[in-house]
Amino acid sequence: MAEKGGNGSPLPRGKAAAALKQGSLKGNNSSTMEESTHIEIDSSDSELEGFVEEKVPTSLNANEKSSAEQKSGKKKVSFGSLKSSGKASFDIPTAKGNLGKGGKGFNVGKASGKGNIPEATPIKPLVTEAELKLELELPKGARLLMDCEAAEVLQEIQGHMTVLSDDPKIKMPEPFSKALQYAKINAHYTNVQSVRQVLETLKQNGVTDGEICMIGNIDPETLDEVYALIPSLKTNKHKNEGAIADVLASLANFRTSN
Amino acid sequence: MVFLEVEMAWNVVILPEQLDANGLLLHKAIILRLMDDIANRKASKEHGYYVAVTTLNSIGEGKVRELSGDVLFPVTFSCITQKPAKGEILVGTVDKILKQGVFLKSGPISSIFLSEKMMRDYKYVGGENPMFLNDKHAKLEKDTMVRFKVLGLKWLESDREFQILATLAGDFLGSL
Repeated sequence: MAEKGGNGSPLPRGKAAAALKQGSLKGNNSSTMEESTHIEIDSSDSELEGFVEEKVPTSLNANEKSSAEQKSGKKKVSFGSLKSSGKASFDIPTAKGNLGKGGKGFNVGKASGKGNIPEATPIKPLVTEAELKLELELPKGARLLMDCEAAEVLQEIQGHMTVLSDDPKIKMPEPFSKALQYAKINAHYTNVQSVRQVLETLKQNGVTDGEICMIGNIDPETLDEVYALIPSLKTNKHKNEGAIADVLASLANFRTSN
Repeated sequence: MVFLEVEMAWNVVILPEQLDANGLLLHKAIILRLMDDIANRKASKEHGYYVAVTTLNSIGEGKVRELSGDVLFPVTFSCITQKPAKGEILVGTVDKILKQGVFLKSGPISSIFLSEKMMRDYKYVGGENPMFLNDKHAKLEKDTMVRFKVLGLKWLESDREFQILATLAGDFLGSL
C-alpha cells in the first residue's frame, strides 16, 4: 500500500474539500462509516482520513479520530494511503515508512483530506444529482400554492386589471405577466379545490407540504415518475406508495384535456 | 418554482398632499403606494419574485415624520410570490443554444443554465439551427419546453434576481 501511496503523491491536493467526503466514505470500510464526519486536518492524528467533518473544530476531531484510529486502525490507513497518498508523501517523506502503523495516520489524515478529492469529484455530482432533494425554505407566514391554485388567483387578478389598467397609477410587479403565463402553462387541472383535497390526504402518510405541492405541479402519470422526480418520497415508500397510487388515479379525473 | 402566498409587514409612506379626510381616498393612496413599492422591489432573496398583492390586511396607526411631514403607515398584507428552490422540478423553454449548454427561461427567471455536462445523453449538433439531440431523437432547440431539476441557485443582490443551474440527470427529465 505504501508504495501506491507514494505514487499517488502527484495527485493534486487542491480541490474542493467538500468533495472529500464521499470519496472517503466510500473508500473506507465500515470503520469510517461509524463516524460519518471527516476532516481535513493537517496537524492532528493519523487516521483522520476516514472522517469527513467540516464543521467540527479540529480539536474535537483529533480526539475522535484518535480513538477511532485505535479501533479501526490499520484498515483505514491503508485505504487512506491509497487515495490520499498524494499529500502524505508530499508533505512528509517519512510517510511510507510509517505505513503499517498509526504513525502514518498522521500523514494520511492530511492526505486523505486533499488527496481523495480528485478521485472523488467525478463521482459525487452524479450521485447527488440523482438524489437531489427538495430544499424548500419557506419564509415566515408563507403558504405554498400549487401552480393551478396560483393560476386561478392570478387570472382573477388579471380580470380586474383590465378594468383598473386605465389608471396609470396602478402598477403591477414586472414578474406578474410572466408568472401568470408560467402558472397557466403548468396548471393541469380543472377543479383546483378537489385537487387540493385529494392531495391533502397524503399528509396522513407523512408526505410534506413541499412534496405535495410538487406532485400537484408536475402532473405525474405513473408512480415511477413520482419517485424519480421526488426522490425524498422514497424513504417512506412502503408507507406512502399505496396512497400516492390512489391519488394519481383520482387526479387523472381532474386533468384538463390539453 | 413554487408559488407562495406570504403575509408580510411593510411601512408605507404617504406624502402630505395625499392625506385626505376621506378615509377611502387615504386607503386608496396606501394601496397604490404599497403596490408601487412592491413592484419596484421586484424580488427578494427571502420571498422570491413578487407577483401580485392580493389583500391588504391591516393598516396601523400613522406616524408623522417630523422633517418631511410624510406619514408612515405600518401595514400588513398578503401577496403572491414565486420562489425557486433547490431540487425542485421546473419547466422552462430553451432560449439560447451554445456548444457548452443551453440557456432556459422559466416564468420570471431568465437566466437558467443547463450545462452540456448535465444533459446525460444529449449531444450538440451544430449548424444553422444548433440543437442538442439524444439517442431517442429527442431534441432541444429554441423554444423547446424542457422539464429540468434545479441543481443550484444563486441570488444576485445587485440585479435582484435568481440564477439557476439546471440538470437533466434523472428519469422523466428532458424535452416535453
